[in-house]
Amino acid sequence: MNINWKYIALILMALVASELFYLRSEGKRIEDLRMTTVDIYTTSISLEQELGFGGLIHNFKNYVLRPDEKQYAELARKNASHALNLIEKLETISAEMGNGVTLLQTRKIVDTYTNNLDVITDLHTQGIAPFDIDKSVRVQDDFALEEIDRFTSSTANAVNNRLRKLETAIKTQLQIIFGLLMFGVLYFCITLNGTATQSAKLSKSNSALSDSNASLSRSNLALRQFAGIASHDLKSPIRHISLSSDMLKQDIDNPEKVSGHINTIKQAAERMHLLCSSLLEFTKSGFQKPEISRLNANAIIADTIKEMAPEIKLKGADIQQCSAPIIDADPELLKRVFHNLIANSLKYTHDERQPKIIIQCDTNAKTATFSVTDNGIGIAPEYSERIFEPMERLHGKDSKYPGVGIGLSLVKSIVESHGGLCWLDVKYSQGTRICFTLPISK
Amino acid sequence: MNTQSNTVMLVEDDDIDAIALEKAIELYSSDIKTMRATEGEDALRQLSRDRPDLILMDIRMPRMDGRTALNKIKSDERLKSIPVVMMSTSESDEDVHYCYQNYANAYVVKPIGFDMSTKMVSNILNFWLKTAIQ
Repeated sequence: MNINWKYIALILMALVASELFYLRSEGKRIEDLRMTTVDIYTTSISLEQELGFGGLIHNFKNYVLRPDEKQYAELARKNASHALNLIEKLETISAEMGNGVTLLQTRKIVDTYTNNLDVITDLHTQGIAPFDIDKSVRVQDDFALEEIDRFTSSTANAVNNRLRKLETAIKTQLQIIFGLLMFGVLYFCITLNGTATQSAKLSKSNSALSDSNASLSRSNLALRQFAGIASHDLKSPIRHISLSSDMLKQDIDNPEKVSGHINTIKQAAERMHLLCSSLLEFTKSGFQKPEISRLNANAIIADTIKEMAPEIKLKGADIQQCSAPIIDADPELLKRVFHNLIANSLKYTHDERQPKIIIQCDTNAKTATFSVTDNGIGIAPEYSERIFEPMERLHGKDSKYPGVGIGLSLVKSIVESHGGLCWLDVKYSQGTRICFTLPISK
Repeated sequence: MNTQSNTVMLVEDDDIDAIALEKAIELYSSDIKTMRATEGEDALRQLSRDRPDLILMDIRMPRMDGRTALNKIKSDERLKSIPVVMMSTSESDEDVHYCYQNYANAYVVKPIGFDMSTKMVSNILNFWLKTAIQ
């Protein structure tokens, strides 16, 4: 699976968080609804108290019996006013809950009782006895209490319905959260399982990565070294041209010196040309990623010798090749390695010996160790490292050996890019022997 | 300034650069003697016989390079008081660091053109030969 499990986990967490947030607000609504239920019951009980014993009707009847005692009328009015407030409150709750029920009868009864208080006062002033007053102001109030009961239970039912709906919604949300979490756990398990089966692949690609990293840092280092050295070596001929032109101006009247300076300028230009070509060659082969294939090393060596036949003939060199195995390498790059080594052997020949070059190969289970041996002027052991550095030459720029110091550094760079090693055999003193290893084809 | 007995050693593998330096030294004062070495080993060989008042040394040379030669000169009790001015084509940080770590007295970048070369040489001689005499 290519999807990053971290993103999945993040999305899941965001979903669960939003669900939890929703649940929290729904929880608050449930709490509110429960409080409303409590409110309905307590308010209706208060209303019944304001109306019944100790309330409006109780005080009204006391006033009927004792109309001289005006405080009963006052108390009854207060009860009525409170009752109306409570009715208002209950009706508001009922409307909020979408319950169409009202307390119309109760409201009417409260109004009637309130109005009848004045009737009592009037009848009493007219001298009518309490017993008769009672007869004319009697109110049928059973409806009211029934209505309050009905109202309370129906409003409480409405609230309960809402509560049930909310609870169902919350249950659904909880199921969604559970589902999401289960999905997360399942996905994690699958990923873990996938990881377990893919761990081999991963470690393989890891090692490939580290290989390519090593090769990158190797070529990076080479590139840095190379850029520095190249700029150094290119600057010298530029300086020569500049110096010689300045001196040419000063020595303009001395034909011999003029000719010398012109010669220097020409040589500098030729050297720059040689440097540019070598730079190109190095960048072409030195930093190239080898395209490995199964190769018959014998054929590659034979091809190289064939291509170099004119130079070999010119130097009168004797070249011997012994049997080599099948190896894993890039054919063009391997040819370049043998070409450079043979060219070096042909260049640094000993004046008093007929040049002789021997190409040998020792093999073990995994690697083939090649060596190119000559009977030339040889390289002192202390230079065994420096000879492989680009642009490094043991012979001065004006020595009889032309070149810019690319050959061996290129050989080393190519061999290392194949995972091999390259060195100077310091024990060999009859000339030069350069050795290198390459992996044998399985 | 008494420059009569002064000798400057040039350690330089590049003949053109060496000729230009010799010429610049001659322009500064015809009394200054120059001795030439073509690389580090040659320089050490000559230093075992003669003692110059100042050494001008290139860094990149065949056989023994300037860095190694500098290290050998500055760790030799007999030679370490001779001022050594390192000359290079490039301003490689690594070279500059190495040279000053190994007690080079100065590090200069070889200029392009003969006029600049004579100016550089005259500045170096002005400063380091005086120092050498004191």
